[in-house]
Amino acid sequence: MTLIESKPEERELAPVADAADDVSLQPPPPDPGFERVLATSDHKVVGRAYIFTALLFLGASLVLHLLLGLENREVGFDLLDPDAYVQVFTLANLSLFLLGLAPAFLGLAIYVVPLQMGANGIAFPRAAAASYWGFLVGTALLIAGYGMNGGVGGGDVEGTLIGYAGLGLVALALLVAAMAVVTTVVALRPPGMSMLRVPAFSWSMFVAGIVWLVTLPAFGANLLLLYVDSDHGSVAFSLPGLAWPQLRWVLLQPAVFAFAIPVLGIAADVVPAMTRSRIVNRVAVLGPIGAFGVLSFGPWAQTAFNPHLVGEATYIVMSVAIVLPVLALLGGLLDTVRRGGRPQANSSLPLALLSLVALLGAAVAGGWGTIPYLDLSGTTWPEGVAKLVAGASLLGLASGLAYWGPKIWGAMPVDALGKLNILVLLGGAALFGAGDLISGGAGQLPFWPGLGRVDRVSDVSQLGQLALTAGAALLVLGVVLLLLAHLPAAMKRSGAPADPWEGSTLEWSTSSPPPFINFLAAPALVTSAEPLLDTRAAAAEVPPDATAQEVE
Amino acid sequence: MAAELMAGSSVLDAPPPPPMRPRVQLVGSALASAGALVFLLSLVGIYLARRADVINSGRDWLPQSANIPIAQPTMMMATLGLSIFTVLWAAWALTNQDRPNAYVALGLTLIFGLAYVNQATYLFSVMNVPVRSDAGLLIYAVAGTHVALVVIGLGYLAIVSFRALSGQYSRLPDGPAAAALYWIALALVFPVIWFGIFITK
Repeated sequence: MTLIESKPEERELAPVADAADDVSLQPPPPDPGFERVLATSDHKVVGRAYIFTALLFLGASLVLHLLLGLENREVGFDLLDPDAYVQVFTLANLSLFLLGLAPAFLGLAIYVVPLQMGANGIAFPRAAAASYWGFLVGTALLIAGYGMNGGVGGGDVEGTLIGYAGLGLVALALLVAAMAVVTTVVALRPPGMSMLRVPAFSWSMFVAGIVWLVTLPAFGANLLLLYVDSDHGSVAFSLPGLAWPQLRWVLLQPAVFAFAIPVLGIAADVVPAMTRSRIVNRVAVLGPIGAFGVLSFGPWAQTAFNPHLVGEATYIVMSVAIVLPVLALLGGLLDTVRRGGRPQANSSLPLALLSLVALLGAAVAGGWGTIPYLDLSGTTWPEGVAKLVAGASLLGLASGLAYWGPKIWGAMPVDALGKLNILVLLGGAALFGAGDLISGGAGQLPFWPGLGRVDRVSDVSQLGQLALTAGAALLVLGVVLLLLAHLPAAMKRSGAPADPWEGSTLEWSTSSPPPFINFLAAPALVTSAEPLLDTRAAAAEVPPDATAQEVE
Repeated sequence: MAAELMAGSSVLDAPPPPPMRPRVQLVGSALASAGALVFLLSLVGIYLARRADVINSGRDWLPQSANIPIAQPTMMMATLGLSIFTVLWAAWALTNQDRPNAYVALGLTLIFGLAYVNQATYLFSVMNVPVRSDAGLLIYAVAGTHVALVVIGLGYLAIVSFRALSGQYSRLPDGPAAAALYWIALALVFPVIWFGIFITK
């Protein structure tokens, strides 16, 4: 857990006067190559690698969900034997958030947050790079464990142990990456940038990083107990039917909402930029993001050790209250759209707003599901809420990639595919979540690994499964479209302007993609939350016949 | 006169250097410490919840053969308590460029840490609690995790010591403070383990 670095500080303290003459500070060659990725501590290379890998895993996870949706013994689709079904079920659920969405947001943050801070690099760059390789090795171990008939709910002890070890390594890697991002926000801000002036995405990653830092270790503690118990003959924690509930809490409310915290920050950065307006009250934006983070704190809600928790007042109040910050932020951003100019024709704006709408739907469904007399907590309803959160997160991720894509790849992504993806992802997110909500409303019991399959007996729950299957298929298509929209830009790596959206935050003041040290000159004193808008406003006030010296 | 002579030189033309950013390692260590504490406290929470369940169901929590002494855990706590003072002494000395004091304080902290590990391994060997039980699994998980985190802390302190020997903390003095922060967090959480596991048993 200790991280000792000396290079970043040394590099940050290096004089920038000779930046333009120093070959080592010039932009990197266009083709990174495998060796450069392997040995790099450049946050941009690590961020890009995280994003692509996570998108691939996200697609694979959704394919597993599609497989689970197609599996329907009642209508003759019996694709998986009972043991395989358990493994596909646990892997699909774990991988959606831990191998897909969380690493994708971290990749975006590793790339963008240092640029938004005007910093020359990320804090602990080698730790950030190590986290990527740890994430990859952990994923490989997890999949190897499942391949050996192990993993969570598997039958082979060795495979189960390897699966737990892999999952633990993935959690540790995500923690290290989150730590690097949070430290960057806290310690590498430029002069004048108070926490209130931090861009919304960086703020959301700061909040998300803190919440993940207090959530994932609790998840890791459960993994440790499962590992030790499995290794000593399964006497307490890893008995059939007991292992999954100890891990499942991180994928259910309130903890699952923590994975969607970056969505709020992406929307709050994209909307003002795309409507060329300022956020009037930053407290009204940063406050709800912080409140959402607090309400998504989940280690206290481990139902495996407190089965009566879902009926307790604290749980109900927190589940209902999480609607408020999403509603406040959505309202504030819609007001920003109303006050702003003509929106720019880019898919990031509708995707950002729709991600908030989907997240609001998830929060409302989560609150609704805790009403005691409805008896929804023991059904598939909570899983539907988690799937809605996943859908909203995917919409937010697509928005963030459309917005920062030119900066990340150095070329413009194919926005026609992005616009097509608005409908695909929205439909997919809605159906993916609605499937389990419909089934849960009809009283369908959830699948419980280790305790056998639960058949879908009613027509309504069959309809729910159909919706879930269609939603998973649409989301798979959405991830494919996302990759197709960004792959050409990632291959081209040139041609994007430094600031295609007339953005207001510091990342748009450097070239696309940025040079190795991000900024060839130290950023000027930050005097507001929108430093580039200030610069443009000041430039507009300079008379057209002023000399360069007067402008200076 | 001097200013006139230097007016055309590159020294005055150069922009000011970026601001010092001395808190990176301190903030990173604070976050790492927080993660380590949450990990440990989660295990203690699971221990207490599980213990309450078993006792409420009318069964014995500890096996009949168990014999957990009180002297060893108390001495372990006292050792870590002393090490808080020595690690603070080391951080203060390094920040003030007082090398002799820093070496003594770091050396003492390392000795206290090694003594803690030694006492913990002795305790594990005498308490006669099998791992293959609810209680045994949780006791070894909690206490063993704390020992593992202390070993990591020892490594961290050793690196700080080597860096101090090479004089690296004259410019960025937050390294010793960061290591001290991690160490103190580990020392301060031990009373929770001491009371929750070794006293209430």
